[in-house]
Amino acid sequence: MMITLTVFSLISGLLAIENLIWGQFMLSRPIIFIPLAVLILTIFFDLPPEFRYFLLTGAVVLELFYLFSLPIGSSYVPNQVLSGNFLIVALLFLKKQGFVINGNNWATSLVLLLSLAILVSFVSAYFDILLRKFNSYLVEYSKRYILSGEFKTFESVAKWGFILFFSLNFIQLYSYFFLMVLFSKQILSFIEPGSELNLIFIIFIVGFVAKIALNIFRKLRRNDLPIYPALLLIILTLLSGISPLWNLLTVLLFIVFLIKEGKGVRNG
Amino acid sequence: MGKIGLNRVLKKVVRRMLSVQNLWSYKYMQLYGYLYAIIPVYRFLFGKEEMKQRLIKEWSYFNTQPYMSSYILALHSKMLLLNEDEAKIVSMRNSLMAPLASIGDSFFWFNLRTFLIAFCTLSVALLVEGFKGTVFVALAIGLAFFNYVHFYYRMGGFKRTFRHGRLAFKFTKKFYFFEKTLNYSSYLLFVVSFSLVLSKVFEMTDVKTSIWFYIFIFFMIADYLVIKYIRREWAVFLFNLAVAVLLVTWGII
Repeated sequence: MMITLTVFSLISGLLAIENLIWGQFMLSRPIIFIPLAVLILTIFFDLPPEFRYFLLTGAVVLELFYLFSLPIGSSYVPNQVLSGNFLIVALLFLKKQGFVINGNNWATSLVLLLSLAILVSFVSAYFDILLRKFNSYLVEYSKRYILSGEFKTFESVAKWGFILFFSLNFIQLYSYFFLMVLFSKQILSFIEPGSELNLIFIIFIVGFVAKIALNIFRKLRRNDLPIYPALLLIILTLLSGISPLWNLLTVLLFIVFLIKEGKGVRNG
Repeated sequence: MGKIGLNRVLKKVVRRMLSVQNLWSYKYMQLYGYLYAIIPVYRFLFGKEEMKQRLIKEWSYFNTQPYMSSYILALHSKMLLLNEDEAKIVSMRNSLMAPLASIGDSFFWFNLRTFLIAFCTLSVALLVEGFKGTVFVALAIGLAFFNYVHFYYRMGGFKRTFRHGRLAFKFTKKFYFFEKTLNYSSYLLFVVSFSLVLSKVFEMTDVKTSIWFYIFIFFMIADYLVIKYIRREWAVFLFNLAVAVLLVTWGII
């Protein structure tokens, strides 16, 4: 598992660079890199079909969730690269622990892992903000090389942009993975059988669909939209009377969305 | 200062242009990446002292859509070649960055990228249906299409703008039509692909596929009508909530 984790952390770092710093060729979209990872895992590690469907559905949902989180100006953008990679390593880890996807638990596990992956992406966005603040000092510092005429040294500062951003993403995937490992027993015990939970999944999907429809037709303000899936999830978990972890997760998601909304409003 | 030397320098600028967002910061935004890309032209044209004097005048924030920065970099290079005053160059840079960012965000982020994602979602939906080989060809085609348009404006834009010495970008009716076509076709692709993915996923459960498929289509149409005719956020929310509560009640019964 350590080799797999290291490989996905490396991929996560490289894709994050492609996403923000170099190129923007769209290789770092979840809908592109998760299917490619699924293909590689199927060819070399014989990934079972239900895990394939799980990851592909996860890729579609994540992609649609992040579709309109655009890196415009100083906007607050969740890290979709880390989120997608976390979804893959988390599922591979649970598989190694003996987790089997079946007709009863697929919806619960999908919503649970997607919620965790989305949380990871929002927490990671705060580290991105910190790095961007640090970059201000770094760029300010590099001004002295222009004033002293050391242009080669000024240009060499560029490599720090790559190193810092790569390391940040590499370390983060490791950290989130080990946090998940700490709570893996609880996670496995909460993925209980019960096909009525499929209903939560359909509402979750409907929330995304509504979000996409609203965004594409642009009748409403973009910043108000992600709140619907979170609200629907909270109401449904309360109505269903299921485990406290669900309620905790949904409340956490709700808080994250509220913070995002607040930032969106402040940024105009 | 031969033509071969200049071409080599411009190629270097084009290469460095890809990392215009490097060291993006809240204070200066893309300034570092921009200066990093344009420095080879300064080095080619000026001595150390003049270069220092000119670059220090460039030290103010810069931000635009990363693909559209190529137009500003090309004009900047051309103006340097014509030995224009640095204040004039900074003024050009500051006046162009916001309008180009606006066009770039709308075209690349909202429409072209959405189209690519819709196309890839459909491909993945087909993979779920079992067409393993074709889907990766489809993903490659989607990426190739996106990057063809991207490079046409990014690299081609740099080349054309530098050659003509003016902004080689026209916001024509043809361009607007292309943008709108991408927008609506991506919506259609989303509907088709989402229904495919859902229908396959629900086959894995003990619930009849057709029921979920009809619920999904019902939500799609109903939400669209609510958005179109009522145009209120609370209306969409209340509508979704009411249907969700109904479904839960139905599920419990």
